[in-house]
Amino acid sequence: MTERAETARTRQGLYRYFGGALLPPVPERLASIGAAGAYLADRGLESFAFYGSWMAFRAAASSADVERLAPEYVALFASGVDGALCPPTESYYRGNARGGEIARVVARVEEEYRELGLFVTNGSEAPDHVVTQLEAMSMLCAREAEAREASSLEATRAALFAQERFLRSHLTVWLPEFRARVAQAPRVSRFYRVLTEAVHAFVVHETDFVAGLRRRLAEATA
Amino acid sequence: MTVAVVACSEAIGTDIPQFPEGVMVVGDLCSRPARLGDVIDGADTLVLVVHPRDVELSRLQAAVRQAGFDPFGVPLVDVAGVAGTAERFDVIIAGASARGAAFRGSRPEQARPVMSEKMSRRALLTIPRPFYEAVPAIDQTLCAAADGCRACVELCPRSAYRSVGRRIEFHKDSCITCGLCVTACPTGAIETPSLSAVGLRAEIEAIVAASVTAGIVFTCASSTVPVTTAGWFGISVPCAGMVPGTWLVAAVLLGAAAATIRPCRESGCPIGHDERADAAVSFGRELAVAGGLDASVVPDVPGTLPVKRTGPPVPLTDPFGVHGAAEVAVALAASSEAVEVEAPVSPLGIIDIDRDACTLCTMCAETCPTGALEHGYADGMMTLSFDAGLCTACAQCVPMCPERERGAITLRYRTDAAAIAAGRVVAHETRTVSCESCGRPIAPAATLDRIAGLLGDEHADTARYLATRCMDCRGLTGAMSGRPVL
Repeated sequence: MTERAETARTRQGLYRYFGGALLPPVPERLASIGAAGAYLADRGLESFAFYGSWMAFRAAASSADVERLAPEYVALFASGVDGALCPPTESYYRGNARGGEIARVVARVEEEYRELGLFVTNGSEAPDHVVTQLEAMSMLCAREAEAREASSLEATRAALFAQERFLRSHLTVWLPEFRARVAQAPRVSRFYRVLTEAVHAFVVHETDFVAGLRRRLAEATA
Repeated sequence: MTVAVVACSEAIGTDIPQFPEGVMVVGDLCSRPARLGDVIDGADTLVLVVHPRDVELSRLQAAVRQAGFDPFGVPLVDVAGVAGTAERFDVIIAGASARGAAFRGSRPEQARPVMSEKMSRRALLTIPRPFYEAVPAIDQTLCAAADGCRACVELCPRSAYRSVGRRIEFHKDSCITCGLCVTACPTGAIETPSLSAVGLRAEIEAIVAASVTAGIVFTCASSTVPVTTAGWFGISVPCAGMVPGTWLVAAVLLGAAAATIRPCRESGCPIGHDERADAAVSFGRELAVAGGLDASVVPDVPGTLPVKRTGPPVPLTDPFGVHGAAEVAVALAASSEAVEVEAPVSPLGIIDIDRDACTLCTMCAETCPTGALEHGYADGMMTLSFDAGLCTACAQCVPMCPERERGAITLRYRTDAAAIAAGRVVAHETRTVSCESCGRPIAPAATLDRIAGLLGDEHADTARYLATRCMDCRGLTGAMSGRPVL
């Protein structure tokens, strides 16, 4: 990994890290989150404003009990759109259940993936699921890293533009409400409360950070 | 509260001969901060004494984060400002520690990354480590935009606030962190981590507790010159223009010998807010005098300190909060007969209702974000009431009034302790006309009279009809009786 691509690769990893933490909790996955956390701890994340939220999640993850998290995960996120306390899908927060609005939101997200050259494979979470959207962002960060490694200003600019647009169109719009819903859920564990706070802090930071990088690049090459 | 005070070793010998005992001295704190966590084990509050102009903010903030602190909650004390006696150092550190201890955290939306502007073309592909500026954010649960409040939109000098439907959106890229919105928001929905009412009060109380005769100077955070006048201590605020005059009086009531505001540069504020600061100082002085204090407690500039007001600090609950100005005015009135000051910068207002022009449509009360104006209905009477203690002079009610051009509603920028003490008073009342069909109220008689006047003789039947049938009964009875259907 070259120095110029290092931050993009770290951000790529963070999106996957948070996405993994929002998948159903199984012992292997929790172990991976712990290992990934230890790896990321050496990547200089203290330079970024979301560091405190991320560290709070790391602490919660280190003492998480999978036996207790599994039923909570189902109650919070995985009991269907009508049953889950906090559905982790964009359409729940932006769509009106009547008139096919939910389907339209999902279709819009899918269309955007296609425009970005991304495809949701069978067996994945729904296209508007938080994990899928985080994964999409991870891939866009990978493109940015490749562009930086190839010293391509144009490809770097395009990757940053795509990231900012996707963040502003999707994750930043509905994540605040999702986070608030989790925080207010009855008897929510520290693990999921600080996880959603950390994801929210990361995404808010990403939106500002990516916009700053894009502007910086545009101004310098104008 | 366990406070760790960490100072930059480079200050010793140049700015200050020796730091007092208890201060941890770290090498290269400003330029290459070490792992702070190793030296401040167990502390719950952190204060750093640095050279602001030499600080590598991105590195320092990272070190602070790594030590387990939020950088916005760690006061940076300018080493040039603490130079002098050990007593002065102690007072400044006491104030900074209290402010740090009162910090209650920041939200992700309140941080704005700033990247170095210095960049070679070769470095274009390398990502710089940012530092972060504190910016305001809206607490949507407190925001009154859904009721029509646009105070921040109207006030912001850089259009960072935009009204979108029934919400206000904040665009942090446009913000210049002047903080005008923070003190102007009538509901306290706009908060910045760089300044809180609780932190401000804690800092001032700590300073006046540590120094028998302290003067307080609210200084612009952009200022590069620390306060060094003997006996005066600086309180950093995002912009001198955001300070209401009542804050100066509040500082005096809390025990300061005097208080004033110092804008950021001798050449004037780059965004023109020095005039606001000057006006706030004049207002604060006038208010102090009206409250029986000497004019010298609010001087134009820090100078010779006046003899301190006798007596203990006045117990104030929340003098820097949303309704702090009213609390200050009422506190002054305890020792003075008439505390009344009228000026464009008054943080309080008085609403006058002209009963001949007002139709009691209640639009003003529906919009009022603080509940200063309220309407009520009881026993066939519609009432509009006003509580001067809740009015923040935000002026949101005036443009909403359909009869404003006839002078139905007027806002006076006036701080009036007697009006505040009077509590809620009836501003206007009128009987309500009831539906002849179902008996339920239709509208205030004044509203119906006004509609009749506007319709004129030509449509007198329609006016009469409106005054006899409620909304629910109009279509039905109109169709059945052949009366006009609206």
